[in-house]
Amino acid sequence: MNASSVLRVAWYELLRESNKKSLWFVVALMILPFIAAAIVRGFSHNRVSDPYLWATIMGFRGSFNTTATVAMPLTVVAWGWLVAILFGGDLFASDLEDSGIAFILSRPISRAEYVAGKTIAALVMMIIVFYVGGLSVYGASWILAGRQAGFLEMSVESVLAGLGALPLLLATALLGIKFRKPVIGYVLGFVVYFGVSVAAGLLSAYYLVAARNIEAAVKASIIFKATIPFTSVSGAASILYGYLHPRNPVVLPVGPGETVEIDIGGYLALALVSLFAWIIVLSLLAYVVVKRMDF
Amino acid sequence: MLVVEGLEKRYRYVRAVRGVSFTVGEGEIVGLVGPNGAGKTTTLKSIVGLVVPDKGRILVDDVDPQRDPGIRRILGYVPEAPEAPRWPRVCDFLEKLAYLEGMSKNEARRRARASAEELGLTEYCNYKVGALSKGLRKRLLIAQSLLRERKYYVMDEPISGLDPEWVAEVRAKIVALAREGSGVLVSSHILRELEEIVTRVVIIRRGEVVFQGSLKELSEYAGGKTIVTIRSPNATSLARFLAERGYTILATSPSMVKVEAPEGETPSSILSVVEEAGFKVEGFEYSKYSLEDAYLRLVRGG
Repeated sequence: MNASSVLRVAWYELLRESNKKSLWFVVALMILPFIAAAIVRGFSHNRVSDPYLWATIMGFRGSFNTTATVAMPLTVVAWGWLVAILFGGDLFASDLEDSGIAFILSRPISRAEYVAGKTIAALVMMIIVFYVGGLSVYGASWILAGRQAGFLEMSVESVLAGLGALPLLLATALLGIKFRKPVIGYVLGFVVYFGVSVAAGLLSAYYLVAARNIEAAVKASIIFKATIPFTSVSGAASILYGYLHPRNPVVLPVGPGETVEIDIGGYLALALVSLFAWIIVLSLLAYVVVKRMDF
Repeated sequence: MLVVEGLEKRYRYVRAVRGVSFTVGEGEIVGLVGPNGAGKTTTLKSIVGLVVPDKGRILVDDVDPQRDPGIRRILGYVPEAPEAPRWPRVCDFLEKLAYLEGMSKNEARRRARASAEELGLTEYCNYKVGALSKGLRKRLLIAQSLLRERKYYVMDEPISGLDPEWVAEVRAKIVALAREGSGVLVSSHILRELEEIVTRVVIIRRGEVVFQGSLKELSEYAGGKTIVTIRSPNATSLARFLAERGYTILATSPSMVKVEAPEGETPSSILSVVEEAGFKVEGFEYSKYSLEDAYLRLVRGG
C-alpha cells in the first residue's frame, strides 16, 4: 500500500465532505451549547460552580451520576451516533451514486488505498466534529459554571469520542456500499445502533432484576461501554474520564448507604483495545466488500 | 502493448463477456464495436480496474493493473455515462483528479487548466460540474483522461452526446493521440462513427468477439456479396418468411426488408421467390455490401 496514494484519497474525501451542507449544519449544531449557555446566563443570576461541567454536557460523566444520567439525551455524545450515521451512510455509497468511484479507481490507486484513505478522512472528520463540540461545550460551561478545569483532558476525551464514533460510522458505511445507497446505510446504521443498545439494556436489566446484583450490573454496563462502541460513542472517553475523576478506583453507590469500589484501569485498557480492534476489523471488512465489487 | 486475453465476466444472470481477447498496440486506434449490451463497457471497465473479471488477464505493457495499480498512470479512461460528482467546480475537479494521480499541486493546477482549454472548457472553469449540460460533461470526462500524456487511452463511446463540431474535434484529437504514439481503444455501437479513424475493429456480440481485423479485412469479409432491399407493405411477415427459408436478414422496418443474397442466388431469383409467395413488392434495390452491412451481418449472427 502506497502511503502517498492513501493520503491523496483522504484529502480528496475531506474536500468532498467539506462541500456538504450537512457538515456545516452539524458544525452549526456544535455551537448550540455555547449560545444556549449565553441565553441561560442572561436570564439567571444563580451561578453553579463546577470546574468539570463540560464533562457532564459532553456526556463523559453520565454513567456515574444520577442527575447526569437523566440529562444524557441532551449531551453532545448522545447525538454523536447520529453524526456518525450521517457521515457513514454516504462515505462510500455516494461515490457509487455520483460515479465518483470511476474517476478514483481508474487512476493509480488500489482498492485497499481507496478504503484506507476514506477511513482516515472519516476519522479526521469525526475528530474535528467532536473537538469543535468539545471546545463549544468547554466555552459554554465556562459561561454557566465559571472557570473550567482540564482543557487538555477535554481535548483528549473529545478526540477519543471522535474515534469512538468511527466503528458505528464504518458499520453504516459498509451497509451503504453493500446496498449501493446512502439512505439504506442511514437506516440500517440506525438499526445496528438501536439493536445493540437494546441488547445492552437487556443485559443490564438481567443483572439488575433477575440476578439482583447491582455491582454486576454496573460492571456489565462498563464492559458494554468498553467493548461495544455502537452503544455509546463516548465509551472509551467516558471510561477515561471515570478513570481520572475522581481518580481510580471509582466508588459507586449501589444501594442505600452502600458503595462499591471498582478499579476501572482494566476496563480503560479493554475500551482502548476494543475500539482499535473494531476500527481495524470494520476497515478490513469494508476492504473485503469493496475488493470484489464491480463499479 | 495493451493485451486482453480470454476475458470472462458473469453478472448474476448474464454472461456479459465470454473469452474476449484482443490487443491494442502503440499508435493504433482500435474500435470496439457492438450493439447495446454486447459487453463493450464491461470489457473496458475490466481494463481500467472498475470491474473484477472472473477469468482471463489484462496486461498493460506486461503489467497486470489489478496487481500493480501504478501502471494505470499510463492509462487514460473516458467513462460512457456523462456522470460525474456534482459538487466540485470544473477546473477544481480536474485539479483534484490530477493530484490523485500523484502530481504536485502546482503541476495539477497547470495540467487541469491545459486539459480544460483543450476541450473548450476554460469558460466553464468556475461552474459546478452539476450545472454543466450533458455534452459539456462528456467533454469534461474526455478532459480528465488527458490530464497527462498517456501510452494508452480507453474511451467508452467518447463522441456520443457531443454536438457535430465537437464530434469532429474529438475524432481529430483521437487521431492526434495515435500519431503521437498512444494506443487508443475506443468503443461505439455504431461502426460508422468510427470507420474514418480506426486502424482496426473488434466486433463484439453477446460477449464474444465475432470479428477482429482491419476495415479492409472487414470489407473483404463481406466477400463482395450482394444485398437486396425490398419495399413491401407486409415487410414484417416478409422478413419472417425469408428468415424461415434461411436468408440472412440485415434490417427490417414495417415497410422494408434488407436481406443478403445467398451464394448462387441473384437479386432477381430472390424477387421471384417473394412474388411467388404472394407478397406485394413496391420497390426493389440491390447493391454490394457496405462496411455497415458487414457489421450488421456480424452482430446479427449471420
